[in-house]
Amino acid sequence: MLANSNLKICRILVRQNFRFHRIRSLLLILSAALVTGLYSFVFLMGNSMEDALLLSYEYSYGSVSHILYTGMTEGQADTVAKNGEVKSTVRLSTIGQLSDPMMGQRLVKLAVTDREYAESVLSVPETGRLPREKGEIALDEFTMDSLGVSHELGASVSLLWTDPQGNSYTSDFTLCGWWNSSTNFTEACAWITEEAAEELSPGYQEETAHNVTLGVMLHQPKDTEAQAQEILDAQGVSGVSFTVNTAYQIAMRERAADQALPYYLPAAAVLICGYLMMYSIVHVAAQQDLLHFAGLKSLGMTPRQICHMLWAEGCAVSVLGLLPGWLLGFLLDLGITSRLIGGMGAYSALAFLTWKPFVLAGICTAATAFLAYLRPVLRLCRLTPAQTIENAMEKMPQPRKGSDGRTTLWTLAVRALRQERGRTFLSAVTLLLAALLLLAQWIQYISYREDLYLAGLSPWDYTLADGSAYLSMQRYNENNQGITGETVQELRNRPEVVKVSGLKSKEVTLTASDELRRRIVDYYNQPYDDTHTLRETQEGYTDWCQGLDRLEETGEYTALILGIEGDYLGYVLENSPFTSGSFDAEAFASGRYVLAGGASHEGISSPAQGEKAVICGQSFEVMGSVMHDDNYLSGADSREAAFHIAYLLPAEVFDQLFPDQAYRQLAVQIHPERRASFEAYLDQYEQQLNRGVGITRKSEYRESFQTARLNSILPQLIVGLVLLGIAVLNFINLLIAKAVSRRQKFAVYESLGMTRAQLRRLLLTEGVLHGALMAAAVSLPAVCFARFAMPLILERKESWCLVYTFSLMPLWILLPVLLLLGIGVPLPCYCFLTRGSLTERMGTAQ
Amino acid sequence: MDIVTIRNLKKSFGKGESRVQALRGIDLTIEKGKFTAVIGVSGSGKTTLLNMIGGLDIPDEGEVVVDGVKLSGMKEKELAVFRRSKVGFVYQNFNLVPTLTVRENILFPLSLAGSSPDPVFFEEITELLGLKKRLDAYPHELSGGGQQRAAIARALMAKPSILLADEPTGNLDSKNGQNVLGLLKLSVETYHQTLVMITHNLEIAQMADRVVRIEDGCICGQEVGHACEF
Repeated sequence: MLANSNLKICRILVRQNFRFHRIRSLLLILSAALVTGLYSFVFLMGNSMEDALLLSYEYSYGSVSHILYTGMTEGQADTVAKNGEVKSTVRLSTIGQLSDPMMGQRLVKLAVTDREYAESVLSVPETGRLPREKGEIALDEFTMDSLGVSHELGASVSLLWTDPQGNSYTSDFTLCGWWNSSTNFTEACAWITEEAAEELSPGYQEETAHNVTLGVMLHQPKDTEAQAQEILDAQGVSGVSFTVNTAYQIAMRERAADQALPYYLPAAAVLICGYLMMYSIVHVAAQQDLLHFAGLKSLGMTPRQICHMLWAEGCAVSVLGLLPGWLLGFLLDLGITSRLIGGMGAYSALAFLTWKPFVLAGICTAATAFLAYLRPVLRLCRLTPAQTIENAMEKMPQPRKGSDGRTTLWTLAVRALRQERGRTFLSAVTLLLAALLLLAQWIQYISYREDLYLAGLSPWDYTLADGSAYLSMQRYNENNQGITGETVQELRNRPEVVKVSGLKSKEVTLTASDELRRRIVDYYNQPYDDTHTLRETQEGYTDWCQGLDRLEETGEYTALILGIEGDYLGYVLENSPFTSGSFDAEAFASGRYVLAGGASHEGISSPAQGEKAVICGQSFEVMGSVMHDDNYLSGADSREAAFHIAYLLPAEVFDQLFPDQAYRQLAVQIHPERRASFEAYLDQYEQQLNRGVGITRKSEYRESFQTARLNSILPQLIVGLVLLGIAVLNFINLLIAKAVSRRQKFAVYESLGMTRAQLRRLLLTEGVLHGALMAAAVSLPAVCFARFAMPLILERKESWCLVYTFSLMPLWILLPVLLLLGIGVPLPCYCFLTRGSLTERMGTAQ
Repeated sequence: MDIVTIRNLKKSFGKGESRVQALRGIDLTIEKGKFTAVIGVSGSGKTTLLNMIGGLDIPDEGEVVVDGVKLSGMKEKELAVFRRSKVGFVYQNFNLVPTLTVRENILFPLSLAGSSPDPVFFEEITELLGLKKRLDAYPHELSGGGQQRAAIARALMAKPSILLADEPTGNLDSKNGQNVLGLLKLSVETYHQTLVMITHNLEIAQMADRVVRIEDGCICGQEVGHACEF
């Protein structure tokens, strides 16, 4: 009995197959390479995004250390440093914290200079140096701007700071260096020398002083929170608090993984399109080889051997496609991921390159090949040799009764359309998938509205803000003289400038009448929903609650007086709905009226129209009250102003009330064509200044919007384009294969009297029919998808600048392409089909 | 009266060392309304000769005149029209169009010409060939004999002057082969057509009015009558 199943012969047959069907094998390897390339690209991109997000968390944490222990003694720090899990440490001795109210929400430590620690918290001076002499200090630019410190080495710095016991001091220093630390807010330091520290806080170096901050790098950071506690327990250290680097927290890692997830999702599309691409080749090959397999089966090849043979072929194809695929994936990653990550920081995709995505891509390619081979394998294993031969026969539809039997070219073409329906269906599905993916990306792209985005975030070309009001977490320092009247005049004289609108602000304490007080308190005590009042919704904002309590108890409140003109006034009128009264430009300009700004919620939460407001002893009539949208204000106000009522005055009136007040911010509109020269002027202007000024450019917002918009669709767009390429190749292949495989049949037609012109027309009709069929198969679902599914998909994104816009642009491009292919592809086929004599062609199949 | 006149017909295939001289200057005439059998061993040039008569191939040298039409120098379109109107082919492997029904296959040459079929003639042929009940079937649904009968019907439908059959019984068992042969002869006699048939079968050849023997691209013998001996 020949009962053994020799599997070696299967591998030999695979090798022979590769040699015999060179083009088919090459196509399979190329498709495997393409699939590997796309998988590699997707996984590399996802991995890079995840790592980049973790790095950004690390930067926003402010330190590269994994754990920061605070309030330690030197002895405790030494003990912790000896723990086996600890790789390295950096130390900081803090004597207190800057407590100037102008610091806003930022926490800055007053600490003894330590270069290693400074490097670990990205706080090394870029201008000047770290302190060497007793009276020197080095600060970051945001602290300087908040405190109104000149950007000049040697400038005097007067600091209000508080020691750990809560005692406040004011100390004077000389500025010896500064740095720009745009991301570091939690671990910011003001550096002084040891001598200065000893003088300001005698005994800070004592063994018992709990003023050491220890930055710890671990050998293997995993669950850093638990590791930090374990180290303390292991070393017997207690009474020490710690924070862990957000980048190494499990929750943050999960968050990074969640945020990076959309970048991994195209892998599903790769699986589908890769499967379709490989399956269409394998399926056609298996169909063509049915007689071959029937022969092998009749010679005694077992299903297991057939199975092994096909799997071996699948494995070989996958392995041969790995190297070129990896290279393709790497190149795509290099070109595209660098761009995506570039938007988050200046990191290259190369920095996040690891081997894992490549391995994963290889495994996924093998799995895709496995799936592609699965159906043909099962089918071939199941059939007997006779059934296999029967399957190789062309399946014909039921003939139409009543036909007169006459055949036209049209009938022949329609019959051809019915042939290889499975393959035609696959081709249509691939095209449809590509069309849907591209349509989704296109509609999403055009639905992101630049005008809405810019109107919301940068309504004017440039915003020049005082250095203390550049960031939202900086408190605007009213004493700063960063932007003066001269600056405004200089700007207005520039030929590039169309309009300069100024905004000044001043916080003053006012006393509300009993009636106003009662009304405002009642307003905030009104129900917001079934369970909360408006006041209760603000419980998390302590400063705000204290402000309202103060009003309720004493009638006093902080009034934010805003002197506005031009575009700022226009912005308020456009974005802040009136709750009482209306705007009268002439009356407002007269200086007798103010606009009162209350909460951005229905109802009057401020003085109403016709009421009086006394500001700095001057009485104004309230022209109207508005739901104040204060997004146009740069920087933040004082903690006391967390609860405030805004009073909007014309700029001239504000100047009369507060003559020495400098500008908080300016809105500048320019001639678009003169942007370059205005940019050059701004660069020069910034360099001339010895103080900080925050310049926000509309063009930066526009670029940032355009980059973000493109980046949001880029991964799926690439997959969609590749899928489209595959689908189009599939379609061309279908047309060519259908024509070429009937070479002998066409020769028979000719032998029966078909002229070349008729043959040409037949091929052309078939091509057009195929093109039209594909167009129809793609169009209807695509239109339905664009009309009904896309609005829902976009709605789920919950973006305020996303407005669903219907468009079928990708379809308008794709449909003519399909029809052109239908017309164009048969022509070269015709040349091939009619090459050689009739007898040669008729004998070809034999 | 001769329907086919062949003079000094030469045809070769391939180039250089692999060049094969299929026909080496054949001179032949075929009488109208007669059954001519062409015999010879494999590779002797029988099929090439038949292809030349049917306008399926172009000779390297010589002249072929069929029913007064000189084939050499004809354009492709003229050849197609010639094939569709003057010649009926019956192949060993039938060469039916698998996507067309039997009825459509039979009418296919007429469809190509855009001509209307003669319904009486169609009825007559299908009746004669026993295809009436299988007209709506596809070729693969018929037996080998059935398929060959359909191929004969197709060849006859355009009422060609000459019927060219290349081993029409080669793929059939002896019973079906005999039937098909009988039908071919009957058709030729009924419709006064000329039949040129390639065969290996000497019994079949003996049924012909004339037998032409080809060897190595040359005619090496011709016999007339029903009792040819080789």
